[in-house]
Amino acid sequence: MNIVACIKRVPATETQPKVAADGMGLDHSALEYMLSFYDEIALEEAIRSKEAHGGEVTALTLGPTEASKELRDCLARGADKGRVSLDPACHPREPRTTPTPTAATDTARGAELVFCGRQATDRDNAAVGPMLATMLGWSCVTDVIELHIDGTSATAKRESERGIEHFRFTLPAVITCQKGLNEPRYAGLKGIMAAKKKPIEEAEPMLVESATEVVGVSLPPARPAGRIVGEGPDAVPALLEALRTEAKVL
Amino acid sequence: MTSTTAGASGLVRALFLGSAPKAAFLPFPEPDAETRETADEIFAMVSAWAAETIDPAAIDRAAEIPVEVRDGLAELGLLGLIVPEEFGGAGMGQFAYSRLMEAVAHRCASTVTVIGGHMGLAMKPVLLFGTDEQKAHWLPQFASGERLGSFALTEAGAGSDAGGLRTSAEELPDGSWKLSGTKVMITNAGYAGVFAVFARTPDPEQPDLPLAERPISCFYVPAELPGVTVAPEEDKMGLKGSSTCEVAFDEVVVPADHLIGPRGKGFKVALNTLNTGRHGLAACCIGQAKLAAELAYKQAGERVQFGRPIAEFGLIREMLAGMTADIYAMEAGTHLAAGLMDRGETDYLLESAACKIFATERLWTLANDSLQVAGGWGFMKEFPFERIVRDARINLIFEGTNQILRTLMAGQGLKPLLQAGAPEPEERATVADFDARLAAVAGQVLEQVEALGSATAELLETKGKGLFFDQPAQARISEASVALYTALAVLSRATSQLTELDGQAAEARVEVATLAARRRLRAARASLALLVDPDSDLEGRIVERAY
Repeated sequence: MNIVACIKRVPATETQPKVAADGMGLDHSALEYMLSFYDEIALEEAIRSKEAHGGEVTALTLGPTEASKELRDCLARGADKGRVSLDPACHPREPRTTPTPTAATDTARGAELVFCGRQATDRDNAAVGPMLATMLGWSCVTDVIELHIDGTSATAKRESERGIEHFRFTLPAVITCQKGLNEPRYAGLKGIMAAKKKPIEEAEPMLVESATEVVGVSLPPARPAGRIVGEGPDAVPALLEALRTEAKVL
Repeated sequence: MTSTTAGASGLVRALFLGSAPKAAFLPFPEPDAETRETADEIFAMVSAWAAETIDPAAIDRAAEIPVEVRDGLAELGLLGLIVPEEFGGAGMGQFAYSRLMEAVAHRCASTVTVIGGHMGLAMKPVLLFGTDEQKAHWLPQFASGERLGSFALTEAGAGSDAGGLRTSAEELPDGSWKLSGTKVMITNAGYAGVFAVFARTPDPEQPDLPLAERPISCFYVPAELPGVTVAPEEDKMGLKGSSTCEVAFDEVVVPADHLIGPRGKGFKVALNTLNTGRHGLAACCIGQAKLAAELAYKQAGERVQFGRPIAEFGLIREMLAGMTADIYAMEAGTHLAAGLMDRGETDYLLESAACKIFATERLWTLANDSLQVAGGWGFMKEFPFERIVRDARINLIFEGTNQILRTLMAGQGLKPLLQAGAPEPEERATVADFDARLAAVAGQVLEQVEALGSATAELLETKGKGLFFDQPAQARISEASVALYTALAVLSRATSQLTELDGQAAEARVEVATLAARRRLRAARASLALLVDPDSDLEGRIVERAY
């Protein structure tokens, strides 16, 4: 089975982003990067599916050439191949423009199963997976917390605010992965050494123009400092009053 | 080992003679791009794993490293990092090993001793001196973690002086050995699968030698052999999670092929092992120093007194800037020595000792400064400051006390001066070899190198061979050599790095390197100023009277 894990290089969650001087995006020179949290889960599920059913895992990303660092990490954990669809202008893109070249790549590779993170931890659009499935005309289950594959049919559990939803569907399919689906592995030394012999290809994809345009980026306003209304049990009435009249949460 | 010429290596030896041979440290021996990349990947992977898996405070409280952590080290393949690939390891060198040690030490000083005792010490005898058959037998077990190694040299009467060793091994008619003796303060003892034991063996040419005069040999003794007894864990000041026990060997029958390295050459095996082991310890100190500095910076930025963060006060800044500069210096010295080892130099005894002395002593004062920045909270067990201080203390003692290492360095460094004939001239480094922005401080460092050479020669002239019995004087010239080795490493490293930096990043690097070099320069000057200590007779009399 040809399996694809779509991953994204995102700013490390602990770094404080700064807005670039032109106010049109982030200052990328000041950022450190990582593999997006949910994409780690997607990659892990792709590797587990390969281990259970055979086949090959390609880690696929759309981004700058530097994203090969995150792909190398995927290869160290067990993916067989990496591919960067080069997009130097990936940052201001709207979600629709990502699945278009991705779908073309997946089709060309004869993929039957594509895993994405439920959302990327930088833009939080949660859109690429479902859009990709739409373009490919495949089954799609999002926010998956449990997955069983049996030949070309599969079942999945999806977590939503209403409860747990159970689905049955046939492959090919796009699965977006939620926390809890698995516990991503560490690469280990053997994986890191093995990754050196695995290929990463760079490709110039057919890029689609964004239909939307970024006109400004700004940080959220600084939160006002907290206020101590008093100490001990005596302060409870004042606190309740403040929560009712100022914060209006009661 | 005792080459009188400073070839491509032997930087510290050359410093004693007043020269800094260019080929020994310029350009900075950076690992190739692939090695660096791999080491970075391992560093990132281990750091992420350690942050999630290791709870250093809990380990300190429980005085035990959970079995999941030890198993994790094995499962990630870390225990075979330096084992050649044909024996199941990753075949990496000292640079990658240093980075691994730093990554684990940054999280937990106790946990890193498992790796140090296993891969830095116990595994070395077979790696350096084993036959092909012995390597094929032992290394895969070490690499997989199936057997964790433990280095058993120290005895109650043999600490700094290995001459006091009394463990004995008698040859049995079938060629096997009967080994008896007791080793103390043995790291990893509680979970070791094999002990590297040093014991006195009869000299076939002088069979009547008394035990104390017999040569030493190295044996791998599997922990399950009858007669091996591991005592309960010692209760220690720091590194509480690490396993440290007395180990008794009572007529343990050890197979003939478990003798590692040439019979009677165990002392050489031990010294060569400790040589690289010390370097790994310096790398551990980098990790703990970075942790202590990060905590101090955070505290200084958040703690407000007199209406401002305490980071704005001069005395706090002095401590913080000293941390940043000296961590850069620790890294420079340690990575320089690693680079020399990885390019195949065999004479790094003094460089390794210099790294150990500077890194362990600076971590000790740095941890203390970090605690000071935290004020009273630093003294509370609720915060990590006091644990870092406790964990740092043993580093000045184990793997060769820093006093012993200083006398060892002086002894080795002075040797060529006592031998006839001037050493061959070497192309010396000049100010022009360094980045122009570092020229001023580089000039001062090179001047001080010459000053060390003159001081050493003068001292030898006035004291003659008596200098070999004057430990304080030896320690001071060693101290100057450590400081100057480190300063040169800083200047070389910064010069290399500045070729790839520009703008603010370059400016920042120049400033850190300048401060780092100046601080070492200060240390070198202070040591040389006290070379002839006017108080040494006084000190002698005071102690004579009191003990």
